[in-house]
Amino acid sequence: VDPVNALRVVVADDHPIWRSGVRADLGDAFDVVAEAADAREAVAMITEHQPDVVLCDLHMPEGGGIRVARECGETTAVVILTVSEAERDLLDAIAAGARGYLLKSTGAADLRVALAKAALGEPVFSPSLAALVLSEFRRMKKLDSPTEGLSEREREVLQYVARGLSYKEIGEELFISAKTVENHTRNILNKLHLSRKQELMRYALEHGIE
Amino acid sequence: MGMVHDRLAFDRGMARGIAAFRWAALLWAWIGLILERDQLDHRWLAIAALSVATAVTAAATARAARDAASSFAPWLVVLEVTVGMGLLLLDGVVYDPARQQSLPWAWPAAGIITAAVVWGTRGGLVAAAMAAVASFVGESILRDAVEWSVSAASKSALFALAAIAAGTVAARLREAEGEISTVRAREEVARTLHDGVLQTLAVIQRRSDDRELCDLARSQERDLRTFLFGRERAATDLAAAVRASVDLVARRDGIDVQVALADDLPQLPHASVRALAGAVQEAVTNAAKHSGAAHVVVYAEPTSDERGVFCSVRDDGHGFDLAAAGEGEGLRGSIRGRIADAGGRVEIDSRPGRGTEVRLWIQ
Repeated sequence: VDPVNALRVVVADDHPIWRSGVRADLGDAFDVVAEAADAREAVAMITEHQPDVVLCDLHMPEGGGIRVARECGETTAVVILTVSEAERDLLDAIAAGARGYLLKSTGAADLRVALAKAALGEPVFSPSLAALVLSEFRRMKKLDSPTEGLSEREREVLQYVARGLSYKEIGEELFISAKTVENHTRNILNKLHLSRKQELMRYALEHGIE
Repeated sequence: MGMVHDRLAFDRGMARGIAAFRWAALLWAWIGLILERDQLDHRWLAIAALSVATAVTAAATARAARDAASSFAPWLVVLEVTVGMGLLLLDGVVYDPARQQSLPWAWPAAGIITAAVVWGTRGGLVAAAMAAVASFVGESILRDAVEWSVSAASKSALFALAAIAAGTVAARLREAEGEISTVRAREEVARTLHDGVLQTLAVIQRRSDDRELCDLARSQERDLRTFLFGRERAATDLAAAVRASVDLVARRDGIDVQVALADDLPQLPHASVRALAGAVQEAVTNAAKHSGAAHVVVYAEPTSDERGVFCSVRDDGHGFDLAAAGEGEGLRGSIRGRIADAGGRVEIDSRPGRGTEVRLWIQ
């Protein structure tokens, strides 16, 4: 591990075999500064080590990836690991502040690329996640949620992601740079995160929770 | 564990309900006895009979409070039915024949209900028949033939109804309870497999260089996931149909297909669902056979008016020049044909080196 340039990672998963496997797969470009077996421990390790990126299982004791995303997502890039894409929990973790998710079957090379991108602030999107996020914004619009919806351009970008285009391909379709496409996806996640926060706050106010 | 818990909850609910009924019936009998004390021929016999019923009621209630299942002990049910028969027999003895209303007809119904809960509708009907015989004999002791038979017949009909109602309700509740525990067991299995086997299959895919082993793990994972999450996924029949079509091709042709479906797809007519699933299957097959693609993405979302569905099947293969090569039989016949028959619209977009996208709109 090159201690100067390596990206600093916290790996959180309640299965030790996973943590050791991920550690092996990450190779020299990453420095695993800490491991955690549950959400509480993960939050403590992230606070202590301030890593560049966190790789964190969706289902863990003590609150799972959702808790880690909620408590650390604003300051640290949290990437959720999951075995299944078709879960509502996944969307909740993203809305709570996670930067994206990876399937556990993702190969080592793809894992490294995605983690490096996430550490640099790029959302880790997939078609399934884009489809879920689009559904969520339609739902919010129907409920007359006071939070800001997607702009037409953002909706367009997200639909392209859902149809399987890369940021580069989307940029070419829309005559914008891949960087701009990435900015749009980042804004979309921020809007989702903000609206979820406002929803929670409004719920708390309406129900008198302090 | 789950089964035991549910069984207890069922018994507790039933025992509590019957106990309340017993006390209400008993109260009714005592009030009747007190109000009509002057018309009683054998006052002390009536008080003694109702006291026995009170003792049985108290005993059953105490057992139900301690352990619900024990209040359904067979000997207790037999005792309750027997005491009920005794009350019905004595009814004719203790009362003045001029009086129409008989005192304890409601309380014996509790025994019949309990018998129906424990032994089913048939058991309840046997108890009801015994109670009916007791009331005919009891009524016949002092009354005129016509009068007693009408009164006893109406009581018997009520007893039979109570037995049938209680037996049916108990059977339904047991059925529901069985279904709940099946669902719980399934969830438990899902959680266990999710945490263990699915994780292991994913580890194999990530860490093995053996191509065949990875393929095996992938297909096992897909089967297991369909089994575990199949029901949730079939939220709308359209989503289920599209996933089934895609799974078929992915398995057959060994191609990696990502299915990204909105979770708010509208309900479409059956013919449209069939047409769309068939067209998607054909489009994915085309991609697998002819495009040289490594990945295919199938995406579907509601159209902006929410009455129809937009669906895209996109591959990262070599693409083709539509003007030069034409669409080919698969695209023209199977996809355009199916969708046109269902009143939908098809667009095919392909450029050499840029993959192919089939776009479908249907209502």
